[in-house]
Amino acid sequence: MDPANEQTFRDFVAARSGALLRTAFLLVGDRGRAEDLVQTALVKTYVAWGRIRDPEALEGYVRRTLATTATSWWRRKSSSERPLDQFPDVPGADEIGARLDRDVMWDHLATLPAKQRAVLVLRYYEGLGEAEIADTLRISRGTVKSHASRALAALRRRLDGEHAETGVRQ
Amino acid sequence: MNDLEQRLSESLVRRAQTVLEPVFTADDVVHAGRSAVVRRRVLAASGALAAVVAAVLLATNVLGGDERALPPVGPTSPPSSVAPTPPSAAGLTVVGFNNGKTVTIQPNGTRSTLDLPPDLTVLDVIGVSGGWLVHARAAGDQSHGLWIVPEGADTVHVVDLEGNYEVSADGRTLAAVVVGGEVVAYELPSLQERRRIRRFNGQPFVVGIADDLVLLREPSSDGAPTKAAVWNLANNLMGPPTENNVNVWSLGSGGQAPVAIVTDPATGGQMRGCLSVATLRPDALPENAPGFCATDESGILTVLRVRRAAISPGGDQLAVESYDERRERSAVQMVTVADLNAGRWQPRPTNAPPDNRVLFWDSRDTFVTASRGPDDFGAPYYRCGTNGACTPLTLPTDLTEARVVPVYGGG
Repeated sequence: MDPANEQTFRDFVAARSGALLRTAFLLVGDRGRAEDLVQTALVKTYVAWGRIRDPEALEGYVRRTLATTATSWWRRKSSSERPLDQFPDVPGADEIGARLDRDVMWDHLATLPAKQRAVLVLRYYEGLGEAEIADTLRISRGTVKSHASRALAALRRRLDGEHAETGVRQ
Repeated sequence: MNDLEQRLSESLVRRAQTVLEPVFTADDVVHAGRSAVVRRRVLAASGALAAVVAAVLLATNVLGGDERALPPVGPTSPPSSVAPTPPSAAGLTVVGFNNGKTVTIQPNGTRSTLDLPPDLTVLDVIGVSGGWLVHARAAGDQSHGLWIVPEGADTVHVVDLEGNYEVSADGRTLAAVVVGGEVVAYELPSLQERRRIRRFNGQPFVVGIADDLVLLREPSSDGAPTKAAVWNLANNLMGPPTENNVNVWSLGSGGQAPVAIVTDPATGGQMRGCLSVATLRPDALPENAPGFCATDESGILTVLRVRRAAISPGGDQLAVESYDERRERSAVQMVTVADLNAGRWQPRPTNAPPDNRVLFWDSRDTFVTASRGPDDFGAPYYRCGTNGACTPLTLPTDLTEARVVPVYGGG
């Protein structure tokens, strides 16, 4: 990569890695793995730089790499380092964390298959439409629909079950 | 958007708010990207070379396909097969859970229950001088920390972690990357703080400790080489970082460190790969120790394939994980340090299953492997000898998530 392109890439990483990390965290549910995932996606992007002719397409390329890597890569995770499952929380996040402990939605989201979870994150956090999600995950629009439908149904079922159980206890 | 979708969206946004900026920098990514490009270039060159060799061999009706023309990383003639009756984990220390308690079983069969606070989720245990070092997470707390359970004394919380930690081979020194990014060295089991130092070039990773020398390097999530440096506890001075980005994975008790260096032609000069065992100086990791060095594609690929090398306590053997990117599979091999010092790459196969990881040397002649990472409880474990013979270990069935753990300095 020539110096000018490398600077463009650096600028992109500096500007967007925070946002990418947040999406990655939602995809995998773990801060440490999210860091690895974003770094992996960005390195893949660096290597593929010559094929990305349009700088405007950079964000889409990284997001696609992030999502497809998240749904296929974790099973064969290999690292020479002894990983830490989670990084310490951010300053001031303790209070938020206490509130989030009651966030059963998040707990149930973690139990979904990786692709269903990715569809929900891209739809309800990134705000992507069906066509964009299909393009990002390299699946058909029909598959996006069925993943979303099944994932939402599973969430609804589990949340309803939880409400019913809480009601019985009360 | 219906109620469920609204609630889901809000939950995702709230969760995302707890994550701010990444630990890595743009420089880290560019550096890793450059390494990946070098790897690709070497692999492409190697593939072309292999194709030429295969074509020649096919023309002479010797070889059936180009894959076989590639230098294999796996066992070519495995030693004696896995023992038909698996031995127990005798001679090794095992940790597991029984009724929610963390139980240790020492090599002589002695069982102990670690006296830990009930709300801890135990992630790892290491035997250290005079007790047990426990890596755990408190309930409802996202941070990780270390606790020490001394023999005959109360459990003590040591420190909260931001990175990794290592213990010296004699079990008397602990170095940990703590919250705030400092590296702190403690004496064990007294927990007296010996030294404390600020991070260098980003968050450090502790490779190992030998006497007063702590080998640190920049972290690498994808195995790309990074700068390394030596922190001398005797005078609390940090030596300069290595000139090259290096891969260094372990440190022997005598200060020997297996090091791989691949120089990138983009930075000038010819591409060259070297694998050596360097002995730490008080202020630096030598980068020119004698070893196996190559400038041809096959030789450089050999160096690049080494994912991890654990040096034996005697400093004379390496247990190497070598990865074949074409087959996406790694193999455990044995390499004699004397061969490497003489510039020879003569790995000997083991019959450890493919993709096994080398966890630790438990004696001068034996080491332990597992099929997955050391943080995966319940993985099948193997014990391998320097002759390459690996036997599966049978862990106690009454413990859940049992694992074989290292003991440094007689835990």
